[in-house]
Amino acid sequence: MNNINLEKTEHTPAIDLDATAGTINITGDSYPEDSFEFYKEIIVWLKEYFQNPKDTTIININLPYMNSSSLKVYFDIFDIFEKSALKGNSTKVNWIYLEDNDIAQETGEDFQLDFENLDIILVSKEME
Amino acid sequence: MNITKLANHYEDDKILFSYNGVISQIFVKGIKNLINGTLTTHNNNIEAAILRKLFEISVEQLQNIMSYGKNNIQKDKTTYESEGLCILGYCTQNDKYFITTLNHIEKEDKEKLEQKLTKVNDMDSKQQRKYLRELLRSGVDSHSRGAGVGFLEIARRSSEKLKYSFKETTDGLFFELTIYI
Repeated sequence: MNNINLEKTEHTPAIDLDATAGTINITGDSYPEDSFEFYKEIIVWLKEYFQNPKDTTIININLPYMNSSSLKVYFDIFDIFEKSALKGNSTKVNWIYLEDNDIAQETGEDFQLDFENLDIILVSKEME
Repeated sequence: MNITKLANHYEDDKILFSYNGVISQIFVKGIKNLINGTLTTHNNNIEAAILRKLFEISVEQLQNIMSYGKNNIQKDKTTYESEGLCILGYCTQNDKYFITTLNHIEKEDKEKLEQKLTKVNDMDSKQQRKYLRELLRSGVDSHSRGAGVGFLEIARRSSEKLKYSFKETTDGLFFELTIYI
């Protein structure tokens, strides 16, 4: 399957989906007007990839800000990750945030509570 | 009508910027620089966390206006714009920054808005966080717009209760929302 590589814009994150390496990297603010439309191709890719994933999939997500519609989309995306983990696929999520971003930290903690079958590690980064 | 006159200003509020016009995603994309530039001019030592929260709250408020404002215009399948007012200010009385938005709404939306806002304001931050998770969990695969998630996301960044009012005019009903940081 094809890889997806989207560059970061003012309102959408950089997205790098690599089926060969088994890596998913997402970095940047996410507040498009219609998040479901923007993430449609990402969700299609993820559903296809997780039908036959690599032995281990490493997922790095660093979203300093998500608007409420993006938050709903990421809830759906974590659901896809968890379903794969429940099938026995090794699926590791690093939830990355800057140490002073309490909202991003709380969002990661809430994902840990809601997707308890998924290996989510909170990674606090120091301010530059 | 000139909706600027409808906004509740107080003598000791300092208006840092005010925008009255078409609110679209193009305006939203520029709001971070507008807020950062305006506020660092006002106070060079302002905390980065305050700037970030003001930006995040303004995005949510403006996108609400685009999606739900009366007479919003659909530009294409996923693009809407709507008229509204957006004010960034500093309140000397409580030493806080605020974002006010004001827009024309449908009469029948008043009750729904009031219910959601009252519910959010009646909860403490712990209850709000729990309720947010409930709404997200119940919404998997439904993709419904605006189940109150937006107001919860605003409330968790706000330092005070959400302050709102409805204004009846001969031109219709207007909704004003002010968030303090």
